[in-house]
Amino acid sequence: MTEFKTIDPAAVEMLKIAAEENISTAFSRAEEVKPCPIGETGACCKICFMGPCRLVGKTTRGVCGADVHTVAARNFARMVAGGASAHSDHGRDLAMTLLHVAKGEGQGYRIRDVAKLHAVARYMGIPTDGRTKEEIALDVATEALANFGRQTGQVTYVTRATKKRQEIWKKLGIVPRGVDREVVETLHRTHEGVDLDPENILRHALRTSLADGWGGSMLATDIGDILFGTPAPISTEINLGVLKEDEVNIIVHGHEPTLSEMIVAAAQDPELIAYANSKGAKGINLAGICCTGNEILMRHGISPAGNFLHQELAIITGAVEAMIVDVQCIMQALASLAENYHTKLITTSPKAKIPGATHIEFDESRALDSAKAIVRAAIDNYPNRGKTRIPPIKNRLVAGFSHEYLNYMQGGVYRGSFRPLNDAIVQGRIRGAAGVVGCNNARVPQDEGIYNLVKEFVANDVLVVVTGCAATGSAKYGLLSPEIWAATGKGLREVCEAVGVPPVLHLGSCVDNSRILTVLTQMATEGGLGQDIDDLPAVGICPEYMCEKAIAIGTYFVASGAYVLFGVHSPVSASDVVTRLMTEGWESQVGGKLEFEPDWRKILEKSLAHIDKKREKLGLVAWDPDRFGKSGDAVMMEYLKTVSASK
Amino acid sequence: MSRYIATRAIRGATALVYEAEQLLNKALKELGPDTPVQFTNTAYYLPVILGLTGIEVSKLGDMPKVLERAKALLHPIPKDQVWLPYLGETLDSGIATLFAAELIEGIRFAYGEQPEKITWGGKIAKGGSFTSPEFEGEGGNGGTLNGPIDDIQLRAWGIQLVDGRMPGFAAIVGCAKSNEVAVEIVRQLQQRNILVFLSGNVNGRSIIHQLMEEGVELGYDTYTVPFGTDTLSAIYALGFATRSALTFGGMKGGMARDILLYNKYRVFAFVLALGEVDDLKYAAAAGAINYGFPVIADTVIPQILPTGITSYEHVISMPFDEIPGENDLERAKRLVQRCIEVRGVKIKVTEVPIPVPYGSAFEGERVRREDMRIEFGGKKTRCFEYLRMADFDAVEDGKVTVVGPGIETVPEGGAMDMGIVVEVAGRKMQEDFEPVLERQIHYFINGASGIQHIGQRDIAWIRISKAAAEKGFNLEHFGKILVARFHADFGAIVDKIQVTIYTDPKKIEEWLAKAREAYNYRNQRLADMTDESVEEFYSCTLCQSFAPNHVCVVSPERLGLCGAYNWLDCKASYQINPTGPNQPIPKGKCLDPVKGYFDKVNEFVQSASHGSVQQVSMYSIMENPMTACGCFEAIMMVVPEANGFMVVSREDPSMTPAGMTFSTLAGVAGGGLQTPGVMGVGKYFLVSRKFIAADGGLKRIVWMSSILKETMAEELKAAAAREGDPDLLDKIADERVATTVDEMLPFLEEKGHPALTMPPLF
Amino acid sequence: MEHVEFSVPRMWADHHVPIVRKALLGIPGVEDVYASSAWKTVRITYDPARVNPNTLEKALADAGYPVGVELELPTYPEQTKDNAMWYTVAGRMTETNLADLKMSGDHRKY
Repeated sequence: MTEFKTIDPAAVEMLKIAAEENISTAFSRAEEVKPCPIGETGACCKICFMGPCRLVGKTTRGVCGADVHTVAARNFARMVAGGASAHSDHGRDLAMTLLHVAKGEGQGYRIRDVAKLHAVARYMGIPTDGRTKEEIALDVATEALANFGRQTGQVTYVTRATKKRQEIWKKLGIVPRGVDREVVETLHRTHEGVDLDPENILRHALRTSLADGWGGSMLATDIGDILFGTPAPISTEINLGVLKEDEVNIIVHGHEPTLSEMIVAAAQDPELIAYANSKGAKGINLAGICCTGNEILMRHGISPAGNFLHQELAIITGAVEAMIVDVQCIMQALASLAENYHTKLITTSPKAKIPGATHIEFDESRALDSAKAIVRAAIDNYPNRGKTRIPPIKNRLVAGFSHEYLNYMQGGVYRGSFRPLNDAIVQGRIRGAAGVVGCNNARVPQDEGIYNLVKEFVANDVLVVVTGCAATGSAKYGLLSPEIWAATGKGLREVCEAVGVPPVLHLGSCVDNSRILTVLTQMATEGGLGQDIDDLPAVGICPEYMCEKAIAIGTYFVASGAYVLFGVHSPVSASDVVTRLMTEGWESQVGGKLEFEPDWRKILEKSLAHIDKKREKLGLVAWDPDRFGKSGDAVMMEYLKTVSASK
Repeated sequence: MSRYIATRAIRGATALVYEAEQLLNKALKELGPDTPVQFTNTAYYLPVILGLTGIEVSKLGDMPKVLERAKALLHPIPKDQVWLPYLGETLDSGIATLFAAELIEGIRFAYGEQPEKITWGGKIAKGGSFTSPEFEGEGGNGGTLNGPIDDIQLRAWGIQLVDGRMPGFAAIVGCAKSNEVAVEIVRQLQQRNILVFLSGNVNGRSIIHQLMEEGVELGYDTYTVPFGTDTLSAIYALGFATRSALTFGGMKGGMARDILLYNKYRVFAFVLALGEVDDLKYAAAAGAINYGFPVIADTVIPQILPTGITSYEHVISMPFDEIPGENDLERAKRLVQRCIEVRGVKIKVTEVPIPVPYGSAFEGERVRREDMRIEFGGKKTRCFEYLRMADFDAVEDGKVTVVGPGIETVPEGGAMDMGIVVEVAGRKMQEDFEPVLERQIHYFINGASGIQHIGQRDIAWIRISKAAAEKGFNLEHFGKILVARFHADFGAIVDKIQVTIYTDPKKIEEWLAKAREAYNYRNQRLADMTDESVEEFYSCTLCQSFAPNHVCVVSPERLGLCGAYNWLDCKASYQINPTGPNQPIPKGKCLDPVKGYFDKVNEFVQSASHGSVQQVSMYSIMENPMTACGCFEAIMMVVPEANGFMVVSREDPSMTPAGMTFSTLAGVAGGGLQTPGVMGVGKYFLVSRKFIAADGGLKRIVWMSSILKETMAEELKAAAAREGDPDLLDKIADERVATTVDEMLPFLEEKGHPALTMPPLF
Repeated sequence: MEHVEFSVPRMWADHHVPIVRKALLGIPGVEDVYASSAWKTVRITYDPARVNPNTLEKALADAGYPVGVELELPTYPEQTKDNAMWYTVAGRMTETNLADLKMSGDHRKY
């Protein structure tokens, strides 16, 4: 197993095949292509054409005189803007879809979750009494879209933060106005010769990230819920073993639920199933990869085939008729890889094409028809299937924890709140909370950090919430199944057993990190754990971050008050000033800080230390691993055994 | 929850909703949809359903929509593997269970099967009886169980519930290990003044049977109410809880979350499951947990210790035989102790060193003539009690002296003279507090099991039961009770106390004369004490724990609406607890002497009512009347047709000329809202000089519950004379002559009631 | 005296127990009955000379509690379905209910 940079046995099996067949994957390329040592540290400036300047060795300033601190800060800010753009464009597309639906135009779409529509309308100050859901939806979509192009004022959802947090942002001048404006301003500021003060650049990076977290991402989550339903728990299986030998396997990969939802509908279409049967397949088997996978997992229980680094491996099984992709995290390598197999790579977004792939544009006005055409193409490909080698490896999981459901599950319709969670933290049954989020990164062993951190947190009574590829990463090893209770700390286990949840809660895709913001805010306002997010005994961790989106997410969590730890390496390590600004500097300004720490063991150590420190600051009892553990079914089961034995 | 509990509770809920549906369909067919459904004496329909859904079920035809609500709250049973979360789902199912249980009880009422007639093959001890209004028989082979608690009783307990004297209730479901254990559990709860509601059975045998066999007095007066012998009847406990929120919390039907939270934070109740637990008991427990009521079982069941829905642990298992203790009685004691810890009830138990159990639950106990060892006072002998302030050095703290012969000198069933003289000293003691403290003697002595105390001053009447005497209760114990309780309850003003019990005839003569002199002096002082003669009134916000915006202003001539607190009581209470609910309110400037507006009073009320009341008139009902919580002794309401007011007592269940019964009216009068023309009052306010003085006083009363006329005959006569119309009482209608305006008006005409010729109210 | 124990799934709550007991105790030869709604079983002590288990079983069936026959209950949808209570009843709470805090504030003072 040590041969390959992964801890996933399914991945190992596929990589062995790839090695035998001499097929290139991200795993092998990562060995071949070393990271650019200057770019890696943030010391490369290619903003103007007097450069690029590499600020290494004796070179302390570029041609324009910019020092390494300014350069690193500018690079970082641009990453935030890139990530924020990705999430927010995704949110915009969903808002557009809602607009179409409200006007009766989006074929196949509907307003599934009227209660959520009302909740969102309430946040936006849109009247609901006596209005049809379409009327409300029209206003909600219009207001959502206004968030992107707004020039003054503030992003609507800023008011969802705690009062204290809003004050901090106001004081610092980082209340986000409109999503587009903040992104454009970042690009402007980091243009050649504009903002040259690292502190000032980074402050705007915070503002831009907030436009993502409390703007684009949160809108994406909410509108996704309105259109497709607010997730509630659902169980299924995960990993490459979910692919089926005798069915048409279709993988949806990418990020936006608009496409995947329709593919889900098309895959259940009796006519298409009959068509698949006519081609000799027993049915149509849909599986997901990346956040598209998470979206349909959360709402439909569609099994994920894996996380980011599984995209190529899925094709290597030889069992995938079509991989349908939209936007974000799609490797260009897929196109050439697919040529080795019968797999059809189908791009669907006008924003994202790949040379060599089949492009079937997804037209929202006739979404279901588009989806059916795509599925039909996959079915047509089934007879071309050659030898398959699906690894028989899969695990069970429970997903579907929207923040609304978290509220519900702690008291039902009548008593739902966050009181039980806060109580559990206050009493020390739960030591604290950790969000483990983010990607896979071929530079580090796949899932190693994710798996070990989650496992250790859970064993140490730290409740974990996961999203994105870290969620699927944890799920592959059974960490998202309630059966993991056996390996859970005693106090946390008591709480999990009371509620019936696994100790690791899957909150959704990467835009759904906004759900974590809502959860943290509700924990802070529920009482007993301070006034604001920076008082909570909680940490955010992105152990295997890979893309700019992760940087944007990390930054908006910091701006919201969280202590955030990233793995891999620091993209600003060239500048001690920037490193300090992002730790001590931000901590004094917004209460949160961003650190980079490649070793997951050190991340664990720092996280637990931080949680204990916050507990102490709140005046909570020190965590004691052995104090609790007397509740649950165990005694009863033992008793039942003796009773049946005595009979 | 735990998965085991969730599984059984959701299954039980599903089964019960199904059963309710079958039963309802049958009833609709057999009885028809218009058949009325009505619990005993309540204005709250089926209270849990009303509270949580806002649906007013008054006939069978109203039930199907409730059933649909119940079904909508049901869920699948958790799977054995990769189960989905179940806590919220189980709690919802618990609510569905409550709806279904209440529907079933409603249907049983429609069929006349509730309240339940109890029968049991075994022996039932004599003396086991029910003192509820529904009481139909006693002893023998059974009788009628109580069924739901009526509104009258709920309100009568109101003041005790709100001031914390009655911390909450225990809903006991099932059957104890033995009769002995059953009695001990109930006694332990009674000693802590916790209401005990009984229901459920195990193998057909209920704790109700156990207590009846042991001759434990069941009923409202002993805080021990038998609901029914199955778990379905436990719904009445939650109906009681729901109505507490509706009655005292100012909440309306449909405010589910508020009602449940109100109970979590203010009603200290818990469920005690005795014996094995079945699906329905699990399901009903899930319903109770929604109210914040924890569940304690004396058998092995899964524990749920994390907190949140309840304030402390959710479910506790204490297998009875594994409770540490020398014997079952000790185990029973520990079990109750744990229940109280889990609910977080802070109860101060005053250890009273007497040979019989002691607690407020025994206050209502009666000692029948045939059970009586001896009596003092009444028709044959004299009995008085006198409390006076003494010099600090003249009092030897804790000393109890008996002067004269003991009870052993009197044959069984006999009587003797007795005088109880209490001397207290304390730095903060004042002469004005003497009567306040003296009145407590009644409550203090009554708290002993087997002792009955009636009356006060020189008309006191005390009985000791044979059972108490057998246990060794003697005269000195009266003194011991008083010493212990005065120290515990009035320690802030009483530093030292000594009690002398006189049975020696000569001494009695001597002290009775002194006492009477003091009584006269106090009467005079009280008569001299007018609103004008004092500088400050007192607030009473005792009820704010229940009615958050209500504030009583108590003046010398206007006592609190609960009847329990007059001006002197408040003054004493302020001395005892300077930051407590009774605060002095300087009158400030009198803005209107007739209607009774004072600037400082208005200021105080504004702030204490959190802005919901702007001003209050002390002497008018028509303009800015004082608000009420829910524990008023009587309600007044304007009767425009008669140009006057009616007064209905909370003991009076009859219809009134206002077209509403007391219970319904209470909904209008309570909750801390100002409604001109409607007001809750203490009954002794009727005879005050200041009684609605601005609106015409007592002469405006055109209708009055007969129970008031009878119980306050002397006082009312005197007040009528003072008002210049000595025959007024005969001119006032009551429920015996009129329950509608149309019936009342000719009566008033015939009698020439003064209100008819008084200036128009509007 | 002999004992027999039956599984009676329809006796799932204590208000069924008196019915079952009555049905059995009325049969001559039945000495004692332990009807447990918790375990859904009934244990009967009887005189084999006067009554046999078949009669007991029949009496149970006649009373509406056939031996070994499960109660057929309707099933309800999981939360993710359109007709589940998650979509029909539950609201979407995303913030702390201020009423909770107010209510828990300074409740009952001792």
